[in-house]
Formats: sequence, C-alpha cells, structure tokens
Amino acid sequence: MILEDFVMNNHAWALGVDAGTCGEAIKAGVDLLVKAGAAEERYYQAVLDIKKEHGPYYVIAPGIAMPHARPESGALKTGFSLVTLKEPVEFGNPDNDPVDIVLCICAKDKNDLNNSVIIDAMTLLENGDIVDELRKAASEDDLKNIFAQVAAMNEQEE
Amino acid sequence: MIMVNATVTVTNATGLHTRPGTQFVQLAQKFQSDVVLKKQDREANAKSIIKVLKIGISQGDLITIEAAGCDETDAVSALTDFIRNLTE
Repeated sequence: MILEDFVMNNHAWALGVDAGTCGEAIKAGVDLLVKAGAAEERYYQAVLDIKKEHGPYYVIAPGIAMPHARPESGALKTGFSLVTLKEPVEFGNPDNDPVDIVLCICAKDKNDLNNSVIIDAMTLLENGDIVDELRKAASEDDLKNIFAQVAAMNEQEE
Repeated sequence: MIMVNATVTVTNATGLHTRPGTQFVQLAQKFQSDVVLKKQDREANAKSIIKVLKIGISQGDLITIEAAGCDETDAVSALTDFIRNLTE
C-alpha cells in the first residue's frame, strides 16, 4: 500500500497529539506532509479555505477526518499523514464529530487523488477494528502491526 | 422482492470524489431499500462513503446503481439523476 510506505518511510505520523482546535489538528497533519516534501506550506491554508467554502464534508465517518485540498493548491506529489489526537476536537460536522483521527492526503492531480490516494485511505479506514486499534496506537511498532493486519485483510479479499 | 437497476456514465470532471460522494451517500440513505453501486467487478454499499470512495469512481466510468426494497424505483431514479446532474 502506498499509504503505508509513505507514512512509515517519511515518519509522517504523530500519535496522541495535543490539539485544542480542528485548525491545530489539521496543521499537525499538513506539517507532516510539508516535512515529507509532499506539499507546500500554502496547502494548509487551502485546506482551511475548502472547509470554509464547503463545510467539513471530509469528516467521513465517526471520529475520522480526511482533510485535503485541490492538487493545484500546493500539492507536490502523492502524500499521506496520519495523526491521532489525545483529546477529540470538533470539526463542525454534526454526524461525525468529534474527531480524533486525522488523515491528511494530497496528490499532484485529481486522478491520482481519486484513483489511488483515496482508495488507499479507505482501505485503511474501512474496518472498525483497525480504526479502534489506530486510536489506541502508541508506538511505531503498533502502527506497523496495524498496517500488517490491513495488508493481510486485503490479500484475503483478492 | 424484485430489484431495479440502471447504468449511467459519470461525466463530471472529478468523478464521485469526497464531496459529491458524501452527497450521493446521504441521498442513498434517505431510501429504505438496499442500494449497491457497481463499477466493473467492484461493488459497494451505496450508503457507506468509505465503501463508495474505495471503488474509486472517476470521469468516464460506467456505473450501475442497483436497489432492492420498497422504494427501489425511486432510489434508482433519484441516484442516477444525481450522477447525471453532477457538474463539478
């Protein structure tokens, strides 16, 4: 899975982050994308602008947000960052607030975003047990173990 | 219970990405029928955004919307209209 390779190889993860607001939670995620060379600094503002324009539609399941912006808003290549929060924060999505898992994504063009990046993200998040384990993850080994389980499940499917 | 289906081509530029995908799922959830979205050999529960996004629907894709239940005809008609009217 590209997601696993990117997150683990670039250390694009942070567990139990202290974020007081959804802005801080998004910042934690986008900073990891920037550090990994996948996005420019301006991507953060673009993610906030998208939320202002369209609302927090990317809070896709209870407790799970997948912040992203358009490829032309500072995405340099395909990237993912995985942040879990110590305390959940409100994104303003009545169905799925509060959020404690923030998976930021970016891609160079919209086809990559739809056809590979989002599919990988959903592969990680589609199983409730995996999501519960993500919430509890406290170390790099925990993450590796979770990714190994996801890989095993997908092999079974195919 | 019979089943109703319709096939439609996705023509909007960004396909069924997160935002229209979420709207599509919310519309599907208004119906009591079970609704399945199919793209080639992949299928998804149309009431789950995670499942819908996982099959990756882009511009030019031919998709089938299949519903079974008391309001199946209305569900298929509303959801195919939704896909046809996407403009983003």
